[in-house]
Amino acid sequence: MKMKVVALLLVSACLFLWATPVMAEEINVTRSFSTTSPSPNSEFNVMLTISDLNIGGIVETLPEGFSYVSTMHPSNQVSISGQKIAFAVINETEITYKVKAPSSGEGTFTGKWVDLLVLSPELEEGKERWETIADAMVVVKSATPTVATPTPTLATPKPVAATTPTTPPIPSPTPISTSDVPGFDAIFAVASLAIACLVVCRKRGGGNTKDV
Amino acid sequence: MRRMLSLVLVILLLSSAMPLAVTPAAAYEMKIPCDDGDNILTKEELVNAILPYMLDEGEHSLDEIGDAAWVYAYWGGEPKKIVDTAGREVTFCRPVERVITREPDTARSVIAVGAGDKLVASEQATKSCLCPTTFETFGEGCLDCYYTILDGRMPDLPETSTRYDIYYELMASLRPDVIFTSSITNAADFETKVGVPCVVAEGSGWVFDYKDGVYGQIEVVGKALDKEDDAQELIDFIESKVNMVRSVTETLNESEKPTVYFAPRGAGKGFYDPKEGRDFTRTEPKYPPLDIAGGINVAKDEPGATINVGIEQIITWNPEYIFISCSDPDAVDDIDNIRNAAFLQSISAIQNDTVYNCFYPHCRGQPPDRNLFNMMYMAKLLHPDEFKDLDLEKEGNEIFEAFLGVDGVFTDYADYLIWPREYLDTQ
Repeated sequence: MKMKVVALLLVSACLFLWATPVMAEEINVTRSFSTTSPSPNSEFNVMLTISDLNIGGIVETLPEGFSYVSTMHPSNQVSISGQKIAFAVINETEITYKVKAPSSGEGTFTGKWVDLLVLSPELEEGKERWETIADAMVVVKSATPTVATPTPTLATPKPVAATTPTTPPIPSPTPISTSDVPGFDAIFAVASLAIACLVVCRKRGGGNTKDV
Repeated sequence: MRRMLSLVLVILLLSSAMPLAVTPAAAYEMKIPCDDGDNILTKEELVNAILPYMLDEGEHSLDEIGDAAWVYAYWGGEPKKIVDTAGREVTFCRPVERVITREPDTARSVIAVGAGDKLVASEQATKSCLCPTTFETFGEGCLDCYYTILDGRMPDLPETSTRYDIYYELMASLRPDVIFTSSITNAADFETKVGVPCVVAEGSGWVFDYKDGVYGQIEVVGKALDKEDDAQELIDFIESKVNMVRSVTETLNESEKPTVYFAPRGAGKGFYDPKEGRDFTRTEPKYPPLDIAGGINVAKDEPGATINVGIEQIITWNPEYIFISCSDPDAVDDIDNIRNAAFLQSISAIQNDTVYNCFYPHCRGQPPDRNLFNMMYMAKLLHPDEFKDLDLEKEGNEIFEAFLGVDGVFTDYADYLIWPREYLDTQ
């Protein structure tokens, strides 16, 4: 009986996924942290996940007391000014940067991004086109010993003006990647669930099959 | 001495005015934004514009950086060159975001490839020709279309030219990125006086072909606007409609095709219009929609295009059908001028009562939507059995929507003109 219910649930989940219209992927940038409660003076990672932003700009503003350490993003695509870190996005889908926490306190990370591949007949385009990355609060733990997590060595960004083109020329970006076809994940999910259904049904001895 | 001084002053004034007269109002910069000047935009140059901008320290505007990003992403970092229908090479250093068209036909093509949001101005008659409405008054016609197309901007769309005049200064003040024109006549003036690239997009709306036809116009508009796929989709749509009719009529024997006299300028002025020759005696020796519809154009062997013929010639041709174009509900009875003319009574079409109104193939140009529909309408009139299942109202709405992006335009047009509604009601 239990198995029947499970099978029924799986089948209805399959049907639901099948019938749900595939939502168009939206251009977006979201932020996540390796921890939101770092130890005093410790380093932690901030991850920016970029969806469908082929060419754009991101600026992150660190709260007072927190300091930028490094990033794995190409060094000539990063620039720092005070608490602000600017990233140029050229087809990257993720940016990780390392921040050092202060000895105590808390602060809110803020950020903005802009899609640069938008054509508009407006003559005076400005910051109204900028989008916001949701604010996020980080609270430094009260001083207790913690085990440091090993983190990869990250490149230190160079000032923009001093940037020398060290990266080899890249081919023109292809803004629409076939691997990013919306709905592909859903197809895999449906296929997996369908296989799971089959396995469950088989294990039950094929209740609907007739013995001959 | 005073005279001498005055003369010098006049010469000085004149010489300072001369450069103003020849300098374009807003010269198009033949340089990719954010580029160092070699017109090859590298990733580094783009990045070096983005980063300072994001930190509020840059010298480039969002528009410039966006244009540079487009050039880098879609044009490989180099200027884009296209060849227009007149064989001219046109170079773009930034993507097109603002468009002015010289005629309604080019404006329609811009909208049809999905770039209506870029249209910032057009010719005076664009307002009444795209969504058929009463010229200048907009009191009747396809008003839903008129008020909704271009996101409701049509009533206020700046008019940068008329049938006779071009307002170059107004054009320049609107800061277009390109001007589309269907004739090479003023192309050089657009580039020198307005200071932007001009693309010649020729093509008759009743020639369903690339050469001299609407496909060529749509194709070049699509190329200039980075809308090649949309342009191809539209061409395929038109071709599918043409093939739908042609696949039937090409199976007919020549003897099954009736002879037709086509009056593309109506019949409201007493057979001949002394001013412009636009009346019943004006005809088109080559009107492909009629040929595709399975009719034999009685004027087909006449040389040239757009000719005026004598009444005697029409009587001699003795057509089996007469099609009189009508775009005005007040002109719906003009057809009776022909039906009742004593000296035309020997013509088969008069005797058999096969004189019909048809759709006007002109509107300060040759609108492809109306001409494509005319093809279907004529096919149904000439071969009612073969096309008995053709739903003209559905087809008409589909055709107008493909060009204008607005549904129900043909239904409104048929109601406005009255005679199409009366015909459709008999089907």
